[in-house]
Amino acid sequence: MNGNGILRAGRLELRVFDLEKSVDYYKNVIGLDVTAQDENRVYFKAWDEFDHHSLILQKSDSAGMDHMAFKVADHAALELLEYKIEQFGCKLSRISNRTRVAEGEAIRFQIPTGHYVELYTDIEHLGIATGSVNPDPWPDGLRGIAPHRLDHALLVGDDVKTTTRFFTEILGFKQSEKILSVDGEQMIGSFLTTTNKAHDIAFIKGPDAKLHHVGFYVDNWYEVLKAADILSKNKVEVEITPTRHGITRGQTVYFFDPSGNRNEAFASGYMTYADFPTITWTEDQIGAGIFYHRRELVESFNLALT
Amino acid sequence: MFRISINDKSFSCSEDNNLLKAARSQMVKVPYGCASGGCGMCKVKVLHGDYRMDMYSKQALTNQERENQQILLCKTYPLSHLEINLMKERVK
Ligand code: FES
Ligand SMILES: [Fe+2]
Repeated sequence: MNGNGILRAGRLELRVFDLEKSVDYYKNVIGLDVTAQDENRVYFKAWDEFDHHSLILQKSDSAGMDHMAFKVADHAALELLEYKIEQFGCKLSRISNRTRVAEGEAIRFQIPTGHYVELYTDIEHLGIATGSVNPDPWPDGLRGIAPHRLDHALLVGDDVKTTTRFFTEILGFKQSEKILSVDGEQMIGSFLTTTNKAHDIAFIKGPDAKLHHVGFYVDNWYEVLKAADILSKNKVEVEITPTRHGITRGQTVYFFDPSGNRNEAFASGYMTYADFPTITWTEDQIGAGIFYHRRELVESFNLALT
Repeated sequence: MFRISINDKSFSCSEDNNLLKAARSQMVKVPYGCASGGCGMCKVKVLHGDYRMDMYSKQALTNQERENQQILLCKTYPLSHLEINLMKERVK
């Protein structure tokens, strides 16, 4: 946290049109644990996450992201942020206590790219199987890819510049990297962090309110390769086989869930600190920025959005 | 086995296989992204023939597009020979 009171990316709610297949996929292929369900939603957490859930699947007639939420340190920080967000001019509402399972009150607002973001501080604590006293490094009985956590999301929208200003000036995020048009006039991509991770949320220019992907964290390059093995074994559509990002320096594999939402197993990536400069990529080098080895984008990477 | 013609190319597809899978397995190039009915990249128009569709996103293919004989290759199963047209403007 960068002194802004926002601890981390806490949860993300996805719309799925085939709930049954999606639950099976997130449980057995991604390897998350189901922690609850209600009429229209199923709740999951990764084995290394302490809170009740980090991913929610919402039964819908389409795909995409309902919202992404960040966990705030306490109620005082939440109130201050609420005030600043309203001052900025975002449409803001309150989600009341227990609207969703295990969650306390949250504030919900629409950012300039049309996405909904929430901030919250209260959520039930479940803990992890290895415990918090003299823990083993990992528990027995892991399934599928078994990532440590929900890591980040890449969202698509038109006004990347104003959205970046909102995240940096109002929410206190740091911009770790940006993609600029060659003349430096337009911001095409923006990578933002509220921690020391290379990104917690990122934006790329395109049609408003779209989801590009949800990233789950795995430990290292071999785990990315193994994730790809697990995906192919389960006949999951893999879009980009294991490679490296220039941006974030992370290692990656991209694939799609049963409703066409893009997922990523993401490893490593550098740490950034408050005094580090923002890295700039120019649009003519965006291929290398995204896929460092291939050095060019693939068509579906720009166009397959939910 | 049904004959699927798509612009100037053709491939075969059984009624329990989706059109995208069949085209890819026969090296016929068609547009696609998610292969899961979510992104709409594989949207095409059926000119002739019968088919059935599995679940898909109503944002990827709207009800109006569906009434207009548009389909998602990744979620469509043939019930007869099909004649299909690739559309220029593929993504909404
Ligand atoms: S490829 Fe995405 S909807 Fe068919
Ligand atoms: Fe990512």
